[in-house]
Amino acid sequence: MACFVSPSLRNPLGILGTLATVFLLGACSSTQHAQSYDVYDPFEDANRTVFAINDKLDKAVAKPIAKTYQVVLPEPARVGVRNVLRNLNTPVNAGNQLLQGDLSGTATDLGRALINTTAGIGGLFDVAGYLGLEYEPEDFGQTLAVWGIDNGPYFIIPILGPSTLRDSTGRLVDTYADPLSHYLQNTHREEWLYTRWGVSLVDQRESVLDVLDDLEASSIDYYAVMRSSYIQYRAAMVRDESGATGHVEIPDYEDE
Amino acid sequence: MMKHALLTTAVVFPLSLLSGDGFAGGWAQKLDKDLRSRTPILITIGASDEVVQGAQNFIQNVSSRGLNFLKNKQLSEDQRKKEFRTLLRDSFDLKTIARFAMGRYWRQATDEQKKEYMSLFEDMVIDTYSQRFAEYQGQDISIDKARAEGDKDAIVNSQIVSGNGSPNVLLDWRVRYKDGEYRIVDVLVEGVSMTLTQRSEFSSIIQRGGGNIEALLAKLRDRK
Repeated sequence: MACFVSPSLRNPLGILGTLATVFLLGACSSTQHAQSYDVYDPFEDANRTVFAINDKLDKAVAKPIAKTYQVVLPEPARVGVRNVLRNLNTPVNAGNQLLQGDLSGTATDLGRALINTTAGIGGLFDVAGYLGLEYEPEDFGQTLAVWGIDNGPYFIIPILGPSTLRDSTGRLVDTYADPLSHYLQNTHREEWLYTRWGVSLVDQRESVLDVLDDLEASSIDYYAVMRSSYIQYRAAMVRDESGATGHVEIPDYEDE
Repeated sequence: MMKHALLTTAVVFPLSLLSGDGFAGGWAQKLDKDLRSRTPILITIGASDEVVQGAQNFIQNVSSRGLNFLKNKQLSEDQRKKEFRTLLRDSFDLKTIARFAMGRYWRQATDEQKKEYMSLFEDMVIDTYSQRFAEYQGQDISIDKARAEGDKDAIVNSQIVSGNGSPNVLLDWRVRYKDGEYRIVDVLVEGVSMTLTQRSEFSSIIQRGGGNIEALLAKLRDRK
């Protein structure tokens, strides 16, 4: 669930292209079928292949790095790293809150950045969270969902993992739109851009080490379990509320 | 509506910063919610307050029973599985869960297949979770609140509290009240329904096995 797809930020055509995709997405979103619990996965065979390759790469490279990171850095340090990354992502997070019409969310994000950058010493400590201004992850994929655009086909991005047409479009838009990335590129500090990208990947892999181990160990068809979990998890993020059950309806079979 | 929220944010946000309480978003959120809750008037027929409260108490019971069981390190592997099976049968509606997990293929199954499937399903749940008991590191469960869902279910919200500084995990229970008894029909981890995920996995296995239930049964038998 990382947020970067090697961007060429100075290419305005790229942004136009992304916008065009957004409208195309909007145009075809009404043709989706929503009544069944099945995930729309028209490229399943190809996806399964990429999933298997990703899994091998993950076990050879990403997972060992994340494990080392977890062992070497104590929990408070890792939390600090995560806080800094979140703080740096404020423009994108707050921007998406705004685009979703969530004004209180936007205010929360700006307040968080203000407090955490100062009292939290450059974002290391989540003082704002402690004060009740809690972090809520937002991205353009969620914004598109709020605007009524469906997932579209599910697919596995090489290296990065599960996504959908909507979520990967969102990922691209977030990457292009991030003002901090623009700033770093324009001031020729690309090394900071790549450091942030790398650290963010390691942080995200580390945060799901146990979850994914459990998921794999307890499943017969790991691909299907991951697919269902990803779609449900993203839907829960879009709803922004805990304890909502989505649209799962478990019947009472008594009468049959 | 938009105007209200804008006003709320524009006024409350700087004000609360000045007053130094830092709860800008919190205030704005509350006001925003107030404004929103006034607009729609919904009449819903749901499980009664009594049932919702009962469901919450039930989950309180089940979770403390479960935690006691996890904390007991004296039990042998076999005793552990046996105890867990009892706990599972007492608190979960396994029949409903198993049947939901098979989805539309249930109707194609013969009585014999259904019977075997039910027993394999229970064993699978027990084996899967037994493997995880060793990972228990003193986490606690805090029950937050409950509400009605449909006319016979309640959703109980809880959180797994790690105690070592890692973030809490949201855990929601869907409890059904039937024939004077409470039974869990679904557990949601961070919004991901275990019952639905199971259904998704099983239907994938059956589909890839050419739409034949035997494909699933074979996989379940293989686990042993």
